[in-house]
Amino acid sequence: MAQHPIDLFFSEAHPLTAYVSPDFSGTSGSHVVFTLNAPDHFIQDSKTGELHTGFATIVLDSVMGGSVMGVMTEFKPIATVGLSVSHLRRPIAGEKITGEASCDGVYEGLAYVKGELRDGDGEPLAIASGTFMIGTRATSIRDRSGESRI
Amino acid sequence: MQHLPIKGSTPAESWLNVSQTSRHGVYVCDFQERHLGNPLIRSIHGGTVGMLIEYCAEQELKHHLAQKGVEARVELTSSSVDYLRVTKDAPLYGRAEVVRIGRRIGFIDTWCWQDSEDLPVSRGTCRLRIFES
Repeated sequence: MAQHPIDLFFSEAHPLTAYVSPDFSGTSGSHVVFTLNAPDHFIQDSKTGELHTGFATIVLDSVMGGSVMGVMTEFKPIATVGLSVSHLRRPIAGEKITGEASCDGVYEGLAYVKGELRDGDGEPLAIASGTFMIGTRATSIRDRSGESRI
Repeated sequence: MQHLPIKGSTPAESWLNVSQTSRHGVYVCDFQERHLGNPLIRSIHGGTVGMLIEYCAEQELKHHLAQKGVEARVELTSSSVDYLRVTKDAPLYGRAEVVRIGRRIGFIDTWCWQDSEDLPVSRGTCRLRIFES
């Protein structure tokens, strides 16, 4: 079976992999499933070990983008256009987290995606919805002097 | 703008590599390789941008509550981020503005930019729970 694009995204070459190492067993097409352990690097409250909400935001943005890659028939760059996340509870460092993301549809080059993180008891930690543009810029931006201010 | 290190940074603040600036309410995420989302075009990860937005919102709400003499803990409950322009491997600035602070919920908007404040790369709306002690 061909490797899912999310496995390639989280390969050792990606800078985030040193901090977040999910297992994507069971992922197929537009449906990404994963488990990971909440890493120490994102602790915001040292007394409780609670992570900053940004951790969930980073993971959800990544796996939701991965679900979009899973529906594409050819490789194209994608970019997040909008992301909304409800943070029900902050994970504790070391806690096992499960999650999933699914791309529900693509219309006019825009992919519509939902995702969630759950704790070991299946209780929701964070719930997200987002939109991703397919076929975005493939080169780095260096000079914005000619850009519209609008 | 001068970058002022945050005293007693938490691991999350260190990961984000965030500092205060000499301008009130403006924070900066100094770029690190770990912040990349797309290594090919060297753009910052959307989640990292979202994390800075959430961080700025928390700090601004804490600041306003402290100014009013309110002792409270705040917890971000939700965020909604619009990604307006592609980012690059450069410092990312964030400025938060209070929309409204109620008894139990605060509403904070945050704008992020790189080259110029009038070319924002993202904006976010955050809702935060206030727990008065």
